[in-house]
Order: sequence, then C-alpha cells, then structure tokens
Amino acid sequence: MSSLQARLELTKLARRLNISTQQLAALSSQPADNLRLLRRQSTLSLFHREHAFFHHLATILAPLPTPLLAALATRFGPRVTAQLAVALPSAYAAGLAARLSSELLAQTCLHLDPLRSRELIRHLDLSTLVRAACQLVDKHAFIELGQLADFLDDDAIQAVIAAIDDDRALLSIAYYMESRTRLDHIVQLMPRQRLERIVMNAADPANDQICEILALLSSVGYSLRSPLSALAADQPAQTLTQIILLSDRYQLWPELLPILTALNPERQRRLLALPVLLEQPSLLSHAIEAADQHGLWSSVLPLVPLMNNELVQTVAEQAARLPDAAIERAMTAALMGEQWQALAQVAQRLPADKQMLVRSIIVGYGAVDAELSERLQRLLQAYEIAR
Amino acid sequence: MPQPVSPSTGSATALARLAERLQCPQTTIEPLSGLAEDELRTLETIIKHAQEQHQQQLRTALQRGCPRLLQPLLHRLIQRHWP
Repeated sequence: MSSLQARLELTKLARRLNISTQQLAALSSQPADNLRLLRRQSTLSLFHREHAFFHHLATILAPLPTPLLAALATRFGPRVTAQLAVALPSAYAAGLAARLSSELLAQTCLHLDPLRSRELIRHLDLSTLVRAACQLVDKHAFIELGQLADFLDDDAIQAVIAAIDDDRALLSIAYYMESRTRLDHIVQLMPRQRLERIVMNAADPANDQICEILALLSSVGYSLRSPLSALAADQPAQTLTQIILLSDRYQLWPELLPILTALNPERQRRLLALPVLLEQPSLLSHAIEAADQHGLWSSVLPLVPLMNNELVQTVAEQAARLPDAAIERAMTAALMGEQWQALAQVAQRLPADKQMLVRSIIVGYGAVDAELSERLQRLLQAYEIAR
Repeated sequence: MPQPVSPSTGSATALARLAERLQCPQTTIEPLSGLAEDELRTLETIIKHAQEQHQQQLRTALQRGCPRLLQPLLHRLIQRHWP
C-alpha cells in the first residue's frame, strides 16, 4: 500500500468520525489496510447501533403514501431521513428520495450508511441521482460522491458525468472512489476528449491536483495509462519539474514510477534529462527507496539504459546506501524481467563490497541454473564488476 | 532479526476497550495492536465522542421533527428500541 492510499484512508476516516485529519495524526504511519479496517468498524459502530429502532420506525411508516412520508422526512431532517431510507424497502425509499428537495436530498446523502445504501442508490431514478450529484458537487462532498460512484451502473455514471461540468470535481470524485477496478471501468466510459482535458489541467501543478491525477493514472489499465500519461509528460520542462518535486513532497513515487514505465522511450529520456534529478540527489534516493519498498524495481530498471552517465552515477550512489536485501530484490527483478544490462550499468558504479555481493548472488544462481550463472558472470566481466 | 514484541498489559487493555467500543471481537482489530497504549486510548475517546454525537443528533432530530400526533408512538419506540 502506498502512502497516497494511506493518506486517502486517513481523510475518509476523519470524515467518518467528523474530525480533522490532524486529530488522527497518531495514525499517520499506519498502513492503508489498517485505516480501512478502522473506518469500516467505526462505520458499523456508528450506523448500526440504532438499527433496531429505525427498523421498527420504518415498519410503522412504510404504509404511508410517499408524499406524506416526504413531508415527515422534511420535518425530521437529513440524519433521520438517511437512517430511515436504508431501513425502508429500497424501491419505496427511492420513491421518497425523488420527492425530497435537492438540498435535503444532498444532505441526506451525506448521512447515508455507506455499508447499507448500495441497493437504495441503485434504485434511484436518473433525475434524482443527477440532482443529488450536482448538489453534492456544490458542497464539495467528493468523498460521498466517490462512494456513490462505486454503486452506480454504467447508464447512471454516464448521466452523472454529463451533468457535472466541473472537471476538477470529476477528478476529485474519481480520487475518492473505493474500487480501483470500478474506477478503471468508469474512466473507460468517459468521453476521450474530456478525459484528456482533465489530465492536461490536473498535470498543471498550479491547479493543485497532483495527488488526484497520479492516483488516477496509476489506477487505470495500461491501454489508457499510456496515452494519458503521455499527455501529462508532454508538458513543458518547468511543469514536469514541479510535478516531480510535488510527487516527492507528497511521497508519490509509488504512483509516479509505474506511470513513467507507461511512457515511450523518447518521453522517458526527456523526463530523465530534467536537471532537477541531478541537482537534488534526494529525489532519486526517495524514488529508489520507494521502488524497493513497493516492489517496483521492474519499473525502475528499464529506465537505466535511457539515463545519461551522470544520472546513472547518481543512481548508483543512492543504490549503494541500500541494505544488501534491497540489492537482492533488485537482482530478482532483473532476473524476472531480463534486465541484467541495466543492473550491470548501475553495479559497475557501486563500491567494491556491493559489487562483491552482486557477484556472490550471481555465483549462487549456479546451484539452480549453471548456464544462467555463467552467462551473468561473463556479463560482470564485460562490465568489469568485482574483478 | 528483531523479535516481535508482545503488547504491554496497558496496550492489550486499551485494544480490548477499543474493540468493545467498536462492538467487534478483539481479533478483528488485531492489526492495530502495533499502536501505543495512549494512541489506542485517544482513538477510543474519538470514536466514543463520534458515537455519542451521532446518537445525540439523531435523537434531537427525531424529537424536534416528530409531529405531535406521532409523539406517543415515538416515545414508546425510543423506550423499547433505542440503544
């Protein structure tokens, strides 16, 4: 799990508990899975305590005609309406929702139990759904909209996308969606021109949506990631430098590295030639640490042959600081992806003790595959590694 | 290799209290056992506050919004089924 996902989870948990993320600072180093678990349990404990009460109330009120129930809902307000809505039969509750004012409808959505509202949301008619979505956009309730989007079918998604003309809002909704596979599908449903416009705007650091755009680009499948990442990568050098600096500040390397992999070599070369990478070696250090921690060596190694000598030297200097186990993991990635040339380019610039480590691992391969070990030892010789 | 550290008695108690607060078995929230005792206690306090606030707001909205005609019925329901 990346720190971006953990940060997302922390924001969602804070919203669920109606507090600021600062109040949850003690949890900031927790993995995203733990935060998600805590959010789920908090949701259950918050929304399900009064379940029996609202079940009985809903049973009593269900025979009422919907206009009368809508009048009651207006009196009770959004919190009670939200609890009642999930306790009533979904089709009936959807009829009630259609009769609520846009403001009450949106407020009710803010208080819905996310674990029990799927069926209700799927029963809402398109016009009610669009009305709720537009009102929630006005309230910047992107977390709730992201949750809503998880439950919608394709027709509903397309209607909502068409109704929301704010690109920034649309990207923020995508950012907060729970299901990454669903997000990929939804992005495929979006008109291509609009998608391109969203990426172009969000790639501009001045628009402050770097987290959102990197989360999106790293979540979509390769067929979309490649052309959309290319759009972002074609920005001026100054913009790309800003993207890299912001990614570093927000610890977004686990998202950025797979995006770099999706670019063609020409674009990769252009990015790797950005002076900032040499001027601030800590950037590469953080990128390499992230590659190791998140199993992304296979994304990093193919970039090495595209780097100039100076940059490879900087990579080697940073790699030299890694523990031996990290070097072993990088070598496993080289083995899986046949990236030995890239690995050798870095290894020949490592200090003698690390070069010896590389050699001893390669010699060790001989116990399993003598031919491979011999081939790699010849490669080490060619690169004058650990002679 | 660092050896896993078993939680102190204070931490174990705080984790048990958090599980009770969340109305779930302690094993469900076992992944949170790495949190320090004071962090677990703070978390429990935050969740307790959120629950109380949520419940209070719901009850107030119910009582304020309930038409006079339905008030006896609401009162009975609250007496029987309110947690």
